[in-house]
Amino acid sequence: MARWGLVIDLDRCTGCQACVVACKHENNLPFSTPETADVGRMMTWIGLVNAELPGRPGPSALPLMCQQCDRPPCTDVCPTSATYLNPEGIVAQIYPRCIGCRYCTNACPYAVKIFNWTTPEWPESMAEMHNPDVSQRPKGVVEKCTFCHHRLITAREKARAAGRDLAPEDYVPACVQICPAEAMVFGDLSDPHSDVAALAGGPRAFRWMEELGTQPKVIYLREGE
Amino acid sequence: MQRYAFPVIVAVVVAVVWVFALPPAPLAQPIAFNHAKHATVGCVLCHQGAAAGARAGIPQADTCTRCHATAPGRGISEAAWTDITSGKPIAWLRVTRLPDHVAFSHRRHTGAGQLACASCHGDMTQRTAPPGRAPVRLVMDTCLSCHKREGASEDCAGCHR
Ligand code: SF4
Ligand code: SF4
Repeated sequence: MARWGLVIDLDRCTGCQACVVACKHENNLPFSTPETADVGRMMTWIGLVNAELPGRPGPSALPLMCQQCDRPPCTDVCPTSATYLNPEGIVAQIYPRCIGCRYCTNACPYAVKIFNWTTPEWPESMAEMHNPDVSQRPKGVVEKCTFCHHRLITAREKARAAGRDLAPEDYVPACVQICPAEAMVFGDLSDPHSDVAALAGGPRAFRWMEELGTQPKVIYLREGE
Repeated sequence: MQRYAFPVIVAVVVAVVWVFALPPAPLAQPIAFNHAKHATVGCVLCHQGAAAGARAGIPQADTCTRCHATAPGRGISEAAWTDITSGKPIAWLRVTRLPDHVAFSHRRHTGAGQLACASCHGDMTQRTAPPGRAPVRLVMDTCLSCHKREGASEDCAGCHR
């Protein structure tokens, strides 16, 4: 069984935020306004945070999304099992099960789960531009990055219809696909021959806030001190 | 008087629940299409995505005119035939719906799953009139009982999006 993982090379990332835009568009996230940002209710599944990294003079931009923890604190507290670790290591979020209690948003140490305070709205001209493979979450549920799980489902179905196995290039999340600096690599961590497995085991690899024991499957790379 | 209060309240509650629990009135389709008559051509000739796509699709007149050069004798008037063949879309009413949070793909079920259309849509080959409501009531248990029986994925995220 695959264990999907994402490697982000901070030495390559330019902080351009193309990934943020791609994610919003891919996953039907509504626009946010300065007012929603002011009250901390921005709707984004991935954002750049300022991170103090050893050996760097100032803070670095670190793309932060759900870390798809192997020991996720968020799933432990969910009273309805709306969020759980699926067999392939993706922390899923089942919207019609979510009662919006926000226990999980509080339990997540990375603060990457967001609550729909309002019904999402888009300009009328965008009505036909939604991704049909992704639902539009209603008011009152929590949502987050799923490693574009819908892409995995479609890719697997296409490979099966063509009578072949899933190839590594078949399934790539939108952020990885868009990154102009090629700072992100995605793949199966359980495959010893995959690029992600090699990079994750390399000397530049580290995990964000790994001391918490969450065992993230997002791995960052940077040059040592 | 008071001794009637309880039965009256019960009667009112039952009446209200009864009215709301009634199935909605059947939808009137724009054309009296006879599935039974067309059954020999198979479902996919008209519902083209049913085997190879996520959505099965509902046919428009260009599908009819592949076989019918002129208005069929029954089921549709000459005027309506002229209308639809000159580009006016047929306003079919959808009877089988899944909620937005369900990621259903026909190809996955008819291809990989080798499921017959009738499993979810009933035996349409016997129907002489278009369905006014979904022939089979689909609930999560309909899906899950089959997934369990067939050993298909029971991972919530496999079907919910
Ligand atoms: S990063 Fe947060 S939301 Fe994602 S799995 Fe870990 S605890 Fe859960
Ligand atoms: S907000 Fe939803 S997903 Fe989070 S803990 Fe509550 S029910 Fe579970």
